[in-house]
Amino acid sequence: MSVHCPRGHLSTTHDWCDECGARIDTTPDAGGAQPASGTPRPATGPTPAGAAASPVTRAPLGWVVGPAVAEPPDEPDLSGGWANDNRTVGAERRRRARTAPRAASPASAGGAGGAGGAGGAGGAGGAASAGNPPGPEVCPLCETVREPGERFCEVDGYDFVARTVPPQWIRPDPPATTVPTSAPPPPPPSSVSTSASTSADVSAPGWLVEIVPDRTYFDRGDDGSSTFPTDTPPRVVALLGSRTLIGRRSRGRGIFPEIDLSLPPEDIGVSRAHALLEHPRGGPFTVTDLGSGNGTWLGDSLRRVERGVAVELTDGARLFVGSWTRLTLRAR
Amino acid sequence: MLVFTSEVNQNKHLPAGGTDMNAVITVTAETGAPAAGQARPAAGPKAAPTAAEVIILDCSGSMGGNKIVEARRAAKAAIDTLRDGVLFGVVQGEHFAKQIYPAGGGLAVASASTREAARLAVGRMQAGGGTAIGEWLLLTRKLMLSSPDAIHHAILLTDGQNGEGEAVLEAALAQCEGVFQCDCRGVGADWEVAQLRKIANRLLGDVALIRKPAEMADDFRAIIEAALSRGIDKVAIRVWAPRGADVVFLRQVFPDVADLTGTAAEVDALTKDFPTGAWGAEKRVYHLCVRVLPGPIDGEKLAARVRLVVDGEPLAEAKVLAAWTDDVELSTQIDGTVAHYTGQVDLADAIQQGLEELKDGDPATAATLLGKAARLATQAGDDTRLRLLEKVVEIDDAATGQVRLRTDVNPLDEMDLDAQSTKTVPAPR
Repeated sequence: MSVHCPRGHLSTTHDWCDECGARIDTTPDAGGAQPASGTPRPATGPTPAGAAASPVTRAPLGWVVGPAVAEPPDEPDLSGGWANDNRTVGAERRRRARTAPRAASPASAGGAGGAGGAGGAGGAGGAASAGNPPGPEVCPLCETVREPGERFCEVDGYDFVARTVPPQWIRPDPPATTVPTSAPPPPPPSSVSTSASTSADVSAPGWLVEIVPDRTYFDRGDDGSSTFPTDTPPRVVALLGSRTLIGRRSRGRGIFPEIDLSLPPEDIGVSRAHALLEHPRGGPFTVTDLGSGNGTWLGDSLRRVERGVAVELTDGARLFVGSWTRLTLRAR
Repeated sequence: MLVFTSEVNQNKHLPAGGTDMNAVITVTAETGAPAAGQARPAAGPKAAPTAAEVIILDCSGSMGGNKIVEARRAAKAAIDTLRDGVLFGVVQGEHFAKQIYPAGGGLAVASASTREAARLAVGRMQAGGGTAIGEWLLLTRKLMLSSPDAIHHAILLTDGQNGEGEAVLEAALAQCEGVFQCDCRGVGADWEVAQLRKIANRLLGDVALIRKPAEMADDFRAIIEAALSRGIDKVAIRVWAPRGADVVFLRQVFPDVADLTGTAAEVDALTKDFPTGAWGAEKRVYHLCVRVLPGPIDGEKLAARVRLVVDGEPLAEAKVLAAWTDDVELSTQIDGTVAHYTGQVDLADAIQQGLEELKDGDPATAATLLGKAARLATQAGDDTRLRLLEKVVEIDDAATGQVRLRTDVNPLDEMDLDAQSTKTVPAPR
């Protein structure tokens, strides 16, 4: 009798597929897809409920914080499962966002962008999709469904294993390095919603993050505990969905970051769940430090990103984490 | 009845994007009842097949004098070892091949009278003529095919280099492959180890040097006894690998090194059979390297399924897994058994290349390679090859591979080392 393997091949062997070699489980694996229950809870507790009043929250900037942004659609999770607590962080932040003052009119840029359309599809919400197995994996660049077992996207060569973008997708470095979100006083809502940078972000189809070891940053904090990696080419990760975790993979703790800095050269200065990038379609791009050990630093002046507070980033923004890692945000 | 069991040694962890999976598969054939759940007994509805033995004696001119006398004595000893009922024949090799027993073509059935007749025929053999090993093998093949169901084995004794062109020998080997197995023995110092090794490898036999003609008889007796003890013929290793994967190599690494990669016969698109000849109660170890498509981190799949098959029926199965991890500690570990046999193969290569350099005149490279061999042999506790090495080089420091070439090396010692270079030692438990 033949059986079907997880990839759909008909196999005469019942333990491993006789076509592709995938394991064939006759008994359903109940707990496999879910992270371990003992995952840590980073950064949710210490966040004061009144954080919305902080000058670096996004609300004062005049973003349209409609329902679509507050409940972003949960796209299929490719990482094999979020740590539950990251969802908690996200949920709490969304709650805060809802209670934050709504500054702009519903007709402004955010509502007109992709957010409204995406909101209709996002009814499931975070908790529901967390328990479901991930759907077919798609290329974040061209949305082609990944061929089972293939490492690279057959259309554009995206590397599904290393989550690396092929070189032709990478734009040259934009001139702006970072735009501190709180530095300028909050301008009147109407002017912000129509500003050039805002509309550029809204229309941007997606985001890339370039990861490189930064010598200058490393030298500033060098305490001899780690060695600066040389000959490391930049790694570029395409951001998928609406949230991206920066951290170091930990199987035991059920943390599987999309931006995994445990890949060689591992930056051990990065916390397991270090920081969260949120980039809902049509919404702002923000970073939230999840209570990391060594902090998240913004811009070449290394301004600290306060724990549990979402800080908005724009195209070209640089984040520094761990011992040497520089993350540069690129719209594409 | 032979029962086959197999065991896999590997580190299944590969780094992200890693493709090459190495595994050592130990196959043990034992007589007796099958252990629970390990393997099915070798099913044999028909009675155990008879053995067919052909003795090929080099009778070229160079064999004159003492050598032909001892060769005759060895052949007679071999004939005496044959049990009643075993099929046998004797081939005299010159620049052509001549069947000297039985006279009428085909093979004789061993009995008191046929053994006596064969002894007489062997006693009349004279040295003279040239060396045409391909011709000898082709005649042997014809004799073997007259009894297609038997387990076919031959002994080839020679003292010189083949006078035929490479292509002629190659064509003969291609025809004989899979028909019979052949153990090769060289006597004297005029034969070429590499040439006999090639013949032995293709015909699933081994090669050795007979130092003194007087040792021939004992050696022949031992070979015949080993050959007759093999109860199951045409055993193949069947390797399945997933779509998109390649078998980089499959080589036997114990009791001696033999590369099987090129001998594969395709069963289907994903499965190949590698012939291993006849088996008795013995242990053989294989090193398999498969190149698979990389999987996702924390993904695991079957990289190869290795079965022993006789007449398409699997006797024992081993599974080689591949799992991808970003844990460097896991993925950089090398399995001890894989490391041991990799070292054993490196040792064989170092000896053969070192001796090659010695012949072709780069003493410095030869000393480096033989030094490496001495180091590897010491590490593995491989006393046999270490002793043979010591006759060719003086070992100053085995741990670092510091050796000096000896100036007055007996060419027989070099050939002995060369011939024994592929004899490995088992991995420590």
